[in-house]
Amino acid sequence: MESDDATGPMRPGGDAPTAAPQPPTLQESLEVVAAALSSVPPEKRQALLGVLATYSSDPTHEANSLAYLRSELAKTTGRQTIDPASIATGQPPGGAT
Amino acid sequence: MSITVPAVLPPEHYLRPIKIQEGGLRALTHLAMVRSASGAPQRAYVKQFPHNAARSLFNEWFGHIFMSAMGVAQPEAAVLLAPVPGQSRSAWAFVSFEPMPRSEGTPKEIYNLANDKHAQILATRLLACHGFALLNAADQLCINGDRNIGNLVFTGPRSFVAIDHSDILGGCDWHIDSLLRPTSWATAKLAELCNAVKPLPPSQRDALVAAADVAIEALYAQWQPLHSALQDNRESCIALDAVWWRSLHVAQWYRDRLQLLL
Repeated sequence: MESDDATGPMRPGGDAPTAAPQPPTLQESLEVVAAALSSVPPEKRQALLGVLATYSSDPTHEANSLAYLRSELAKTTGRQTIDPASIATGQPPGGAT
Repeated sequence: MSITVPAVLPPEHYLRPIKIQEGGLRALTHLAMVRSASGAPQRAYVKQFPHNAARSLFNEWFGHIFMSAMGVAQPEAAVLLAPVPGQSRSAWAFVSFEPMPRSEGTPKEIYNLANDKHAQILATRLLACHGFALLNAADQLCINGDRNIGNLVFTGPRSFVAIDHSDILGGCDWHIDSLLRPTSWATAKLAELCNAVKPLPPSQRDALVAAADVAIEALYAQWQPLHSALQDNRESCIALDAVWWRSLHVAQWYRDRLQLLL
């Protein structure tokens, strides 16, 4: 029987991480790309897949290709949203209370 | 010209979330029902900022006060400790109430700039707006290089309100030493967009230069009230001093810029 992995990257409740954030794994990155690709127009999707295929033919550029795709998708779809867990509590500006 | 300071609302003024705005790269923004300072429930955009944008909330607050002193039209705004969507906690937020009585949306929502016809219509409309030249000058004074077509809301055929000042003062993570360095000029994206569609005629160039002079005069006339409104704390004083130093050169910059690049 598998046990729950309490040390995984996603923690219920959004507690602040206690260690430096780790770069996403390839699997996580691919999931992001796949989800984003599903929301762009077909003509753009085809172009982006072409980019992915080109870059992926050289494994040393794999990380670059994913980063490039992420940035392109962010520009194309405009649907990326900041992770609520990254929001700072902050304080009212100007000393206002 | 009156200076308006965003009200600090008690948390109970937040009534309910409506919808998360997709596409925000610098802030988590959601539409919500919020009671304004007058107590009336209104639709409002609630912006909360990530850890890596430490100055954004201050910039919004400072920018709103500064723009009001310059005479730039803005929606009613407030600061509020609001729930973070999807989280069981709250964070301080900058709240922009939906412009009343009429809000047409941002140019980004209305026009598709990939379409030449749309770009021409937008450029013509922007240049016809009464506050366009003044907004350009005020943005340059407060080092706003991010005044783009998503950062104003049309409220009529020739009117808009300015929103989103989170990237003024050179960005969302400015340091004191970055404000003390020699002035670096912000990109006047909207003016350059209009000029790209059709070179600005002399009358429009004159209007931009004249607006820079008007903004500088307004800054000097409102200097003491601005200090009072900004509550004279250290951060605000440093930011305002940076604006003052910039004011010494901004009119000349506009003259040079309009000759050389626009």
